[in-house]
Amino acid sequence: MASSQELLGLIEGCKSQRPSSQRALYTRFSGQLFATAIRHTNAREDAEDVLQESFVKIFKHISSYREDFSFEGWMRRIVVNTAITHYRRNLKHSHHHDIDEVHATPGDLENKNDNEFTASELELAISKLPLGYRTVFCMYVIEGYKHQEIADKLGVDVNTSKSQLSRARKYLQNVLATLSSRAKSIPSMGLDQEVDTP
Amino acid sequence: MKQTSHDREARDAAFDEQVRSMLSEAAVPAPAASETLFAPVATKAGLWGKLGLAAIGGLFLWGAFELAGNNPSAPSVLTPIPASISASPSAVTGPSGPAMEEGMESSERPDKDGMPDQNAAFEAGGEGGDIAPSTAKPNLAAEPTAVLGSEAISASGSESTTVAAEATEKAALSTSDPVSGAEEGPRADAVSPSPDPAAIKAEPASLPEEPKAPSATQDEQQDANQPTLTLPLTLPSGGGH
Repeated sequence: MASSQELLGLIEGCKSQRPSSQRALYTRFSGQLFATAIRHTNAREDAEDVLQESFVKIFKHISSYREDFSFEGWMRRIVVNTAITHYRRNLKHSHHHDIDEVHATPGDLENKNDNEFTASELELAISKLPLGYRTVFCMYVIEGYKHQEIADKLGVDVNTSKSQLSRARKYLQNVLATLSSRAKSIPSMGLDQEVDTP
Repeated sequence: MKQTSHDREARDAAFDEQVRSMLSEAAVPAPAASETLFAPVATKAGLWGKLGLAAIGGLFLWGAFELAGNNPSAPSVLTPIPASISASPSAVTGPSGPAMEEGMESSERPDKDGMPDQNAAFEAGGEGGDIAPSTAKPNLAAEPTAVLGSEAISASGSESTTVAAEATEKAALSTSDPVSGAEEGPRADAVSPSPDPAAIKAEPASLPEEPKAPSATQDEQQDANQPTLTLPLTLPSGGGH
């Protein structure tokens, strides 16, 4: 496949620390990785910092990449780890909220058609999650981490990871069910309370 | 209809799969990367290049200074240097510091103690030792660049010459053309030390010690009666008037 051959060439060029290959790699994957960084940060500025720091790590450690794994998955893991480090670094400066007041009604979900929300609506709903819940949800659902890995990386209990995933998922299902009925406004996220970090 | 846990798990799994499929390939326009991200190797190469250029430049400057220090002028091109002067290291580097001051002081005194020895050495080196001292004496003084670079001559007081000596000096200059002199005498004698063993022995011992032990001799008494002329320290190079 031409694209995979091209990707292998880019990887080899980056292993040789060739700036042209590094630029091409950044151009090709920065959009996806920036979206991942946005999902794991609270602000766009933080996501930009995470993206920049992630590419520094990618270029520095690309020689340790083994080709039997997905290169995109390898890069996304670096972005997520960098975002978690960034999150922990800024933990004491930020306030964390719970989503206890989100009321997901099974009736709304039963009436919901799965394909009636778009990716941008899903992104918007995820962005409304508190960062701790969002991190657990994205790590488990999108990046494929197990609960034990999430607990280890975030420094929380496994049951905390499971409960927060469940609550985040319910909230999103409720929001997306509301969106599927073409509700114009996103319901309250219950961000009034300040609670424990995940 | 009551929802079982199995149905809920299945619905959650479907939801997760839908979210994953929608977001795993999602992309957001990323900000432009800074150039420093792509040039770690180039930066290192540039640093090494700059260091290399600095080293080369330093070596070049050092070599230039070395050449300038070893060859302040080129008097040998203009006139044949006497063997006694050219063989002395001080003739190359020139006097400096206390030696220069001593030379200046002694040049102000009508001291001519060192002149016979220098004349003898000059005769041995430049003319093969066959020329009388009276003709060689002004010829040595008529070598401005050589005199400037010579500690021995400045210390011996040869810079303070008399008006009469200057007159004879001009006469000697007219006869001691560097080219013709080289043609007349053996060229090797003008460059290499004189074969005369007396001149070789007298040269190193007499020249450096002369300023330290000035004594009144007959020559000094004769010169004291004559008006003295102190030559400037920076004579124009190039020899011949």
